[in-house]
Amino acid sequence: MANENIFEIIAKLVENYKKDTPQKVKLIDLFIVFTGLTAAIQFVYRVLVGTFPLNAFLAAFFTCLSLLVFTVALRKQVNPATSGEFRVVPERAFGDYIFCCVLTFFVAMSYIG
Amino acid sequence: MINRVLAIALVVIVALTSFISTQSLTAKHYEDLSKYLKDQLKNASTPQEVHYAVTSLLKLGGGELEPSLVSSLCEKVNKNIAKVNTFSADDLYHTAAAQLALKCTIPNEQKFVEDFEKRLESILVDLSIKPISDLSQVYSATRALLLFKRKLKSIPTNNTLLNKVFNNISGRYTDDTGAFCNKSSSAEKCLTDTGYAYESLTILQSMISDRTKLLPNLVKISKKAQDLIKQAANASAVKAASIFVRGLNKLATILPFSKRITRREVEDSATAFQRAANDKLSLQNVYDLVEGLSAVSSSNIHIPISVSSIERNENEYSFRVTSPLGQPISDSVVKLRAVYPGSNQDDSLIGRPIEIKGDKGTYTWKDASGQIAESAGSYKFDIDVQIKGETTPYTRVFKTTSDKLDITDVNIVLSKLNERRVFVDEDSARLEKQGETLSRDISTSVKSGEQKKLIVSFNLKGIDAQQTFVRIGDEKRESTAVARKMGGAYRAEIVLDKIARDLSAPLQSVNPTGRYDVQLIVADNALQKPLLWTLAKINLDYQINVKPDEEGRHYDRQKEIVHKFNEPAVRASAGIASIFSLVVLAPVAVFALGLLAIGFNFNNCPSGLAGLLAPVFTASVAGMLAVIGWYFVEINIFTALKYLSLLGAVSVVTGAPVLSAISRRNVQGNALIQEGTK
Repeated sequence: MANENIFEIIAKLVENYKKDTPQKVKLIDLFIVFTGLTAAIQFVYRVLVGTFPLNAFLAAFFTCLSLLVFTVALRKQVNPATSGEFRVVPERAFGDYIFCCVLTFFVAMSYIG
Repeated sequence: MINRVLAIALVVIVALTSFISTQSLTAKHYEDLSKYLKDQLKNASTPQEVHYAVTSLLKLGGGELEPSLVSSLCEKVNKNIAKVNTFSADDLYHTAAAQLALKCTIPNEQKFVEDFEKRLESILVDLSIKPISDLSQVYSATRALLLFKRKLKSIPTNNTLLNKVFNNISGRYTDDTGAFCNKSSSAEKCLTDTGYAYESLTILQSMISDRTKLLPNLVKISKKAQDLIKQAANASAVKAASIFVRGLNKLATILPFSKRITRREVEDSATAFQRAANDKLSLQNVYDLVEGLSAVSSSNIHIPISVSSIERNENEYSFRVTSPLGQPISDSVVKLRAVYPGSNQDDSLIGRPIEIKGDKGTYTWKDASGQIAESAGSYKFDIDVQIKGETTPYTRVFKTTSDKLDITDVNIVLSKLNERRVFVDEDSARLEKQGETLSRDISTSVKSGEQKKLIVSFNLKGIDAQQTFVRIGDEKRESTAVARKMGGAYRAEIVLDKIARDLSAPLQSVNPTGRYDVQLIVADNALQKPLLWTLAKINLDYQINVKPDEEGRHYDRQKEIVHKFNEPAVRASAGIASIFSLVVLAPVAVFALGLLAIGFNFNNCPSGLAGLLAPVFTASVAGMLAVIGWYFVEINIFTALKYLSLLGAVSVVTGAPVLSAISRRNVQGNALIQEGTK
């Protein structure tokens, strides 16, 4: 019974997600999943094999985490359900997001060596 | 190795000998220098070489040159005189000096002199108007002027020109140093430049008609002459000392230095040349040496005196009183004031001062009592030399040995606490019999810490030796102890376990057990040959470990150094790394599939200007990402920043209207929806 409820809950969650979530937000969520998975795979590699080359690992791992954080922040500002607490329009948030990403990529490339 | 101590003894003897030896050129110096100069003359090819060799030889009194040599030298000097109008100041000077020294006949003399004068005049004009950087050129020009003074017509009477050159040279004087150099110049450069300046100014002053007006200037520039002459005495470069001494001597023909500079200071200035007399010969060095010594010997300040060391011939003791060049001084009165051992004049062998007559500079006194010959030790000779009413005292030390020299009461004792073995007891020999070994054989074992000593004692008769050693060693290794005089007898104590390090193989830890000689070494500057006498043979059986000393430890095998670098990090193999690269791309596939599932929506694409700018904006952002990738691959940070700032500016300029247009559209759209729901 409880297991069936969990599956039903999950299915309903997915259905509501598909129905209620704007396309924009879905794209952002997809990107969050992408960066999260990339960070996770890198971390598993580090645990199994080692940190060599350390600077490259740090640059890649923390770039993924940074992007994840920026993208989550963008999602909050763009999602109509949560954007009310922010005084910026979504387009402005997107512009800020691009700036932060470019800066992060530049720093990461400098650190990779 | 076996003669190392002997060599040291010989060096000390030679050093002591040269310390008390003659302070003038010796006959051997004259011979060597004259021979060298004659050889140089045969190979001389330039006027400078001829000038230096001929003038030095003439000053040494090297005798007349063969006429054939003179004519060939004159040919060499006159070879390029047709080009006299291109000569430098040095060329003019050396040519003039060589011609005069050899008394050469000059072809087309009138034309040569006219061209010479024109060239010299143009050089002097330059020296009168341009700042002088090289005083040697001034010196050469003024010397050339002086040498050819009688032949030249216009320059010697051109007061204006000579005054200008004089003032230009004087302008180089600085009060900071009191010389013709600045504080950063070396002592030798200072002496050289000041010497050149002194001589040049003196020559010019002698030619200028209103010369007395220039005297205050000359007095001013020679204020520090007394300090400079002391520097000349200590100069290591004989050239600097020579140039200064000559310049000062020239200036002394005008200014009275006799009250400011003492005779002793003039004599001391010859020291630099006396040192150089033993240096390796070169034409420049010989010229500077001879010129310097000539200038000192014929000093216009004081007549310098050189008193040689005392030499003995049986009971007669002689010394030479000469100029630094080794020539007798006329009008000198020499008195022997006292002859005494030690330092107490009251013990003088002569009751009162005796005037001694000289024979070509050599003065001899006979010791009638024969006391000096019978004793061993040092005797001081106090000598007074009087020239032109001025008396200068000198002291010379004579070291003597007795005619009968003996080593007596030789004892060799091996001692340990509570034990004493005597091997040689009261043996003796005359010093002449040093070649004989006493044929004593000693054997002993040496244990660590037992303080076993070999004690050698002896008496020396007829000599107060400066160096007495006892040596234990063989051909390769040795240890030496000083034999000290204690209550009349000499005694050396050698602690056998302590010398194990010396007798061990150098720098290694080899047990020094072996057979060694016990030798006595006596050296003194009064002995022609140091004494080396083997007293006994000793077999040493060392029962100790010899540890290397500090130096030995340095050369011993050292502990192996393990590198302290970081250990290399664990690396994945190429296969695993490649697999990881593919796995990392998996989320990209997830992203791409997700994009397809979510779908694309270009409905909100703006129109109008914003619509045109939208691709530009997108392209500029993509361009920035591409530059970052390019930065990783090829370019440096500065180039990357340059492109990023350009593209960043483009993206801001294009992005702002695009995003603003989208935002306005969305706001309008939301407003319409809200109205519709109402």
